[in-house]
Amino acid sequence: MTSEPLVVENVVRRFQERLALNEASFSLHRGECLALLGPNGAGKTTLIRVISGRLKPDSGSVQIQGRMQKPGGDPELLCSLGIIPQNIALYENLTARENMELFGRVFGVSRVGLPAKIRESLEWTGLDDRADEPISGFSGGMQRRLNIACGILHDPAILLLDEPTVGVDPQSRQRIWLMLRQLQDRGVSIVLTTHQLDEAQQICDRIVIMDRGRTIASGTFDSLVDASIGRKRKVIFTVSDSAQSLPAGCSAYGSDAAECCVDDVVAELPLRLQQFAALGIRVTDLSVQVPTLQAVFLHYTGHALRESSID
Amino acid sequence: MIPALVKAQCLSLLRDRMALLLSFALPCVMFSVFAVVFGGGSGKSAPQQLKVLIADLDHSEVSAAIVRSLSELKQLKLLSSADVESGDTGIRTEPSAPDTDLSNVRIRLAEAVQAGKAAAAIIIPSGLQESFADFSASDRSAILLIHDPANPLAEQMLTGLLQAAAFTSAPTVLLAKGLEQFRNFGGPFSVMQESAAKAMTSVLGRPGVDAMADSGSAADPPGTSSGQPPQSSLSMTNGIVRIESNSAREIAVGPERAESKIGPANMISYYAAGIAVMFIMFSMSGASCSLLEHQERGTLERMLSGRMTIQHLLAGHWIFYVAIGVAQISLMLVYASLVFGLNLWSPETLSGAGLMALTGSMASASFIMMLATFCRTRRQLEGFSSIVILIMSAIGGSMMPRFIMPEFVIRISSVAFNSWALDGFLKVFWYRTPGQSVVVSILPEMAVLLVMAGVFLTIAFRSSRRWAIS
Repeated sequence: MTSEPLVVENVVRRFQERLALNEASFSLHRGECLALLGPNGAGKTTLIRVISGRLKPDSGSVQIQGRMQKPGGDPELLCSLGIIPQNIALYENLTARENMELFGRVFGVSRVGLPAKIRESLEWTGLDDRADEPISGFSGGMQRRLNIACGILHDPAILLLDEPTVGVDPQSRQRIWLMLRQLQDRGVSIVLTTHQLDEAQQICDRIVIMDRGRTIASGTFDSLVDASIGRKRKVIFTVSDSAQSLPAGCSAYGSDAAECCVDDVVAELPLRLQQFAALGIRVTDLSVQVPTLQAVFLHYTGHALRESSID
Repeated sequence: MIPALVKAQCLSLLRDRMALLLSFALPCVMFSVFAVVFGGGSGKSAPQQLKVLIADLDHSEVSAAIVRSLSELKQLKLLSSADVESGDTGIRTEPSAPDTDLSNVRIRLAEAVQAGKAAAAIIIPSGLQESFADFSASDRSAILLIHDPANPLAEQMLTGLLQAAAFTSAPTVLLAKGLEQFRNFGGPFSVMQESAAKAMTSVLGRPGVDAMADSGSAADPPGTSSGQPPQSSLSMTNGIVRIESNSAREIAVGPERAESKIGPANMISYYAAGIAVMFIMFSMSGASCSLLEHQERGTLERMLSGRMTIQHLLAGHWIFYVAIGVAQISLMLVYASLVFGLNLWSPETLSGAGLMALTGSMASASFIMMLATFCRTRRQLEGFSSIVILIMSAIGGSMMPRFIMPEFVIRISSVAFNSWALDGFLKVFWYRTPGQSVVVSILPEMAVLLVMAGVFLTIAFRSSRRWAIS
């Protein structure tokens, strides 16, 4: 028996001839936020559906709180799992409160405790002043927040979010990030799929990268950087005139700039500046580019477009 | 620009197989179905026979000849009252010997027609032969035609067929009566005329009828034996035989009860059943789209991620659809009662209508739910259910009465749940079996509807397993 709240081991799932999950494996630590990244068709949503019990794997296993997940969902695990689908899976003609009442009951919240949970959730989402309006009049961001709130009314220990911020404005995204951090503070372990790499980098403790149904890399952002593009920093020097020759290790970057890679910015940058000066090239500006998750992601998954329709 | 748009529309249509099917195959399918239902198919199939009850109280040569002539007609299927009583009809069967009392026979046959066992009934009263073809008699015996007002075609057809049968079945009697009239108005025949008349009679006649024609006494109408012209005018406007047509409904339940607020033959009562059954199917079809809407919006997946199973989900929808169906039918019937005078407000009718609304809604909800589980999108369901409902309404009798349909279509319709629902509603609003309460009379229909509802629901549950887990 494992102490990890969620362990996915060698899950395989085919859709006819297409291999959607190919021995996908990862584990979720208690209280962490884990991002499941991958290009379109990598198998992220399929994996979420397998974890939730909505999709039967051809082989492999999913353990939630030490119990094996069953196809169709283990009723014993319902209290442990919160699932936030990619769609706004709400009744648009119902009010926010009515939606919460419905999903609270579906997920087993007692009639007695439900009103208090709804009040708390309405405050948490910032929808308390619109609680009794039909949600068809809500903005996309408000509906997204309510979509999340309806999935956590039963206080799950593990929350699975499938692209929780797709199609919302930056303000709503910030609010959703804040909500997720608050959940994490309450001890909820979170798995989220996203195409928003900045989101994964900013709010997630660990990242799992999937491609073609496999989990091809996992770890913290720093460990992924170390394992992929390394610690080197790219430095771009803007120069006043187009230079005839550049210092050794530098290359032209457009018509009035040069670029080079350094292992240690503090130690190497002054030396580089001296080399430019020695060649009579005046440096008017410089920028140090830090490694991004996008660079890491592209390093692992390549630049080729993905055409698969299964995610 | 416009050709490009047209091209895009064409390509879209060509690549959407369902839309293509609905666009081009559906018209042919629908035409075929309606042609078969209302037109008798390719024309090679035998037309449906009209079931007619017949009672011969005259037991004469003429009445026997009329019955024989009618029985030879392909359009008619003659039944004696014994034929009807031998089945489980619920009709009174107290007399062991044939009943010869006209009023008794009239009521019994009217009850049989009112119970829907036959389209009409014919009673040949005693004394018909005596007044047969006597156009001068004002009080000649009339053949009684008892018809179902829901089927006016049957009344018209039988009136014509009876006249034809009377004209062709007893030619010697007709000739003898004609010569008698001639003598009355033109004086005695000459020897040659008499000889020609006898020759003609012998060519047409059979022995028994010839004898009657020769004697002339049997055919002497009242008031003509003295050789004086009749007091009433000579007229054939009433035909060879006089036919008295009555509504079975009026005879069986009495004119006061048969008459509604609007008129004596309030056909709303008859068509309310068909409208209710067709309407409920369309209503359910619209409601069941919500099931697929849940799937498309993701709420179904979300529900199933919780403590709800697919059985819970279908049961919840089914109860809702049934409740909506009952409410809609109730509203429609109350409206029909208030505006069109539908006879609804008796305890018997109310209880019968309520039970039929409930069982009809249950079967309908199950059927439409089954269709919904077969479809993957709302568009598929909308197209599919429209076709199925139109076809079922056509063969089930919601659009046109089934008595005008070919026999094989009527047989096919027995597998359509809506035809059972329709029959049940018709028993509540139109047909009545004497001595049997409405609720008892609709038990077979309710039982069939409940069984069908169970079968449809079972199929729906099985078919919906793909939603439960992939």
